[in-house]
Amino acid sequence: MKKMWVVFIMVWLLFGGIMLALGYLDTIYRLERAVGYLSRAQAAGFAEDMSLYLRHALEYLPNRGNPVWIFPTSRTNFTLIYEDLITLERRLEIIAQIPRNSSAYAQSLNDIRGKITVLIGQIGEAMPYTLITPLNTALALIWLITPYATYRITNHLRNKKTLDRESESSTMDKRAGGGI
Amino acid sequence: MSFLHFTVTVIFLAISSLLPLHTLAYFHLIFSARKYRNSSTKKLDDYPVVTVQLPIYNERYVVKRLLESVCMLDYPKDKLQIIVVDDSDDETAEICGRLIEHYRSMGYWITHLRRGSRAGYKAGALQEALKYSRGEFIAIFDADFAPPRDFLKKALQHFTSDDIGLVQARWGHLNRDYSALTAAQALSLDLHFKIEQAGRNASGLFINFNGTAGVWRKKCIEDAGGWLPSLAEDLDLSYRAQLRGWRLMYIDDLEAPAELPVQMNASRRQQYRWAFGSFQTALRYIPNILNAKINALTKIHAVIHLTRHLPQLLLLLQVIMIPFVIKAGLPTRLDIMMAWLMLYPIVIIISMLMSSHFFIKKAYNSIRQFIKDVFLLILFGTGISLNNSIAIIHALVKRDKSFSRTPKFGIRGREGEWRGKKYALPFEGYAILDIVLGMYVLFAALLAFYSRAYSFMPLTLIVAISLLYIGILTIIHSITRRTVKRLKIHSAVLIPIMLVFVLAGFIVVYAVNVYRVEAALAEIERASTSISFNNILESVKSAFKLLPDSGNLVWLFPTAGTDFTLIKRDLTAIIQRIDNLQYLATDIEYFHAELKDIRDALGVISIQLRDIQPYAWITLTGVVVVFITLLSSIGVLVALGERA
Repeated sequence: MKKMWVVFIMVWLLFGGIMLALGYLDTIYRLERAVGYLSRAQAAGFAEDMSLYLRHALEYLPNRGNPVWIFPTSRTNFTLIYEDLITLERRLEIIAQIPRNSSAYAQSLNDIRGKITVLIGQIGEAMPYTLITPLNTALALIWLITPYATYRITNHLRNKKTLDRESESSTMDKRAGGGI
Repeated sequence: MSFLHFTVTVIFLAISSLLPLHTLAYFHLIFSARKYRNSSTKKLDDYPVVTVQLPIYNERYVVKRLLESVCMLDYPKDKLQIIVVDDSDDETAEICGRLIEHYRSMGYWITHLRRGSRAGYKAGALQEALKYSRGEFIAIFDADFAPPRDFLKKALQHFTSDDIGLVQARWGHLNRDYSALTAAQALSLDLHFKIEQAGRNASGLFINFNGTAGVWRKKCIEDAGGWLPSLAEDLDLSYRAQLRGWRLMYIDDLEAPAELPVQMNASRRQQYRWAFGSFQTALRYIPNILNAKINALTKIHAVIHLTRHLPQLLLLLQVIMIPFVIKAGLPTRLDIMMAWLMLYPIVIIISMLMSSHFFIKKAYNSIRQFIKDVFLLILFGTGISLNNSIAIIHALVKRDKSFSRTPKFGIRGREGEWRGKKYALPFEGYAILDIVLGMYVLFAALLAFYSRAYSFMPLTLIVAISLLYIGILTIIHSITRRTVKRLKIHSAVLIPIMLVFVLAGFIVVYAVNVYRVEAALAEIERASTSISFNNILESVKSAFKLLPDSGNLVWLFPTAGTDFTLIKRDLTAIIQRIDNLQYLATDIEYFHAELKDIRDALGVISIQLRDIQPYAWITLTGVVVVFITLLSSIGVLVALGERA
């Protein structure tokens, strides 16, 4: 029985770990990759590079919804974040036409770097909520109580079995006694 | 600040504020202990009947020493009843039977009580023995104790009034100098007795029976309801008795030496039992304590006393949260508060331990020895946190747990060997958790260092080193005697080789990864602060050369932000722009706008390199190399052992 429990706990831990990793890959990691490209865009030297990085970032970002389910604000609204990034990309296309050896080019790029900093902060704020949704929280709670529930159920069944066996044997004893 | 960040901050600050509460209570006990005086005594005109109860379970190595000491007690034979409650299921029962026969033939009033089961464990054994006890007073000794001859006479003199229910003696140590582990445990117990028990006694607070080396008034046990099943039956009865108005006394002058656990696995087991039992008692009696007609200070101290293992759980939660707190940027927002909260518990603990020297100077020959033991105690006390936290969580979700006794091997002083003996415990799986958590906390320390959140470093480093120490010691203490012999044979060669390997590995990792990133970062920061574009250009070019051409040192969930190919591509673009800048330096507006933009871009690259730094220490190749080195070392060891 002890061995069964060890196996059960190992499977339970493995299942929890896999689910957590899958959840992370599907939600937070996607946003982390987007942030990675946005960070690259911030460090890029030319408008064309920045634009390329922004396009990569957009591939990983959701284009609608607000993952913050408790007290949401427009700061974490992905519809607005996405629109801002599209606008930045369009502006970068225009900036790319400006001569590189001009102050206008440098100032425009610098302005975009500042805007990207704010957007990274907003995505970072929204990030944990993509994984910690009400549904995922409920599932995590179910996962947490599974060993306890299993323990109680198996214990109950074992006790019931023992009681049944005892009552069966006492009935048999009575019958045997009656025979004498 | 989002709701989640707000929640993380609140939980983190709440934990940080709760932690010092226990240390402050301890601080109060230090001051109270200074007021401690041994209680008054009365001369024994008439010797009352005393029953000595000896609960044992499979103690073949120490049972002889125990019975010898008890039978040597200076007390009239006809007034001294000895009951050995023997639940053993090995040869201990036979050894014990022979010894009892021997002492009985010498005129001792001694009984060998065999229950045939371990129902109720130690509490069950003591309750059973109570039925046969004829004494007005009940003395209890565990198997690892060796009470001095005058123990009973001295103890009974302290029962000066009818409301005194217990006289608790201080535990001495038969094997303090056996190992670093026993030294740490000895100091921990000394602090418990000389400060906690003495301080509580001096301030009239609730104290506890320590399960052994104490003399109870039988009436008190019966009045409090007898022994109830618990992993801390001693604490359980102590609180019930005190809540019914009985006074329990601690006598510092009365010492009963005992054997400290020598195997890490045994010590873990003992600590687990104490943590589980304390919390079990806390859950049972805190409502009664809060409703009792006692003063507020006694109530506060009683709650802190029963939940004394809780700080270990809080400490772990705190260190686990640190990477999240750093990532959320909280240290920069609340820097001063964070620094104060993180350093406070450490400073308090260290200062308390240092000031405690006053109370325990008798046990130490030098301050150096004391400081060494304090260091070992910090390692032991912090490293055992995970073990005790698991016990607390178990106590919360599970009402009952089987009583696992702490095995003893009859070790005295520095003499004796426990490896290869019958009761040596097998490998304890929690050691793996210790090591995994230790590695995680070590990563948190690196993250704190490179994020410049230095206030987190003392705590993370202490916790990481302690957890790794306890985990590794548990594994070492699970190795068989044969393997240890083999290791000893080759240790003169193997230890230097291992040290050279570790040092070489450390230098290679630093030179190949860490230093290159660090130097590149320094160049980029220099470029950000330089005025002359020649210097800027030189610095950025140097950084470019230092960084690898491709790859991503962040091997766990990497992103484009730390990709060397992309970083170098951006640096190439920046170098081109700086090159252009020198030809158009006369256009002031352009020059400044361009420089500002370049500096900002370089600032972002600095942040990206800082993100890479912790991973530069722990590369995937490094992990594989360490693993292969470990495996080959074990292989060499086994091969050498076989040949030997």
